[in-house]
Amino acid sequence: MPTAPVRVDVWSDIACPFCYIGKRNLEAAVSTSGVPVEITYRSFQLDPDLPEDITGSNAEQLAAKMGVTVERARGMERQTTTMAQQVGLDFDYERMQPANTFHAHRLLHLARAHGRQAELKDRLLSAFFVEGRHVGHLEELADLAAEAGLDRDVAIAALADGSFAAEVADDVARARAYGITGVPFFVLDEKLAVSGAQPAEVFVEALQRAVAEQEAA
Amino acid sequence: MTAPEPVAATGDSLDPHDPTPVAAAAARFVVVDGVDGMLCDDGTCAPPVPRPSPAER
Repeated sequence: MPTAPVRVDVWSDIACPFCYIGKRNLEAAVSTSGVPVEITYRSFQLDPDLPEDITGSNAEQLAAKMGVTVERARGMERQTTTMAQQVGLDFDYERMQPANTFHAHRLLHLARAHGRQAELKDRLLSAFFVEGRHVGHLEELADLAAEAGLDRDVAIAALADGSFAAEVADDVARARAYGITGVPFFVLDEKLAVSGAQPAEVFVEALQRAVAEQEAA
Repeated sequence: MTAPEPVAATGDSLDPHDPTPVAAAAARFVVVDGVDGMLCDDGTCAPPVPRPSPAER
């Protein structure tokens, strides 16, 4: 008997390398398994107190936050860069512009309302990790929205008037209530969870289990 | 005011106004087994931690 699409709620941030890698692994699993899914990206900010504009490199920012040397922070960057390459992503930490992602999350909620959330999520992640674009500035975000198929004027209006701040806060509050302390975090049909950028085969297993649970219900 | 009814550990609505206590919510999902780490937490990203072999467990 055909099952309904598996609902996948993904808590993630933009400035989160494992969120990008995990997204690719989930997509590979969906393609491999053939399981129909309905994916919603939920807001989670790893560092909500970051200012809009940050001077210095990502490694310097990371080193200061963690209390480690810049060289050690660069080693962590190299590690995630290597992992990203394994799923076809070309991270460029030299060009990366650290930014507060609050407005980007608001824009993702606007995109969801217009049926373009998946496109915008991918656009934002690529802009941040690969292209070195600033995902905190409103004009840049509006450009990215347009590139993802949204109306630029609608996007800039929503960004300017503070729309979807409550939706971002709701997602963050729900993550806290669910005990989610790290991202990416994937919830399937409100029953199963996958924590972290797991290999595609783990997502395949999770999707197949979700389908089996639907069939058993 | 009446206290909210307790909810089951799994399968509840993702309603943001769900009054589920935090302790129950943290246990509501069945977490599929995978590699430890691979998460970004508090602005940092943990390196993957190899899972112990069955002999080491």
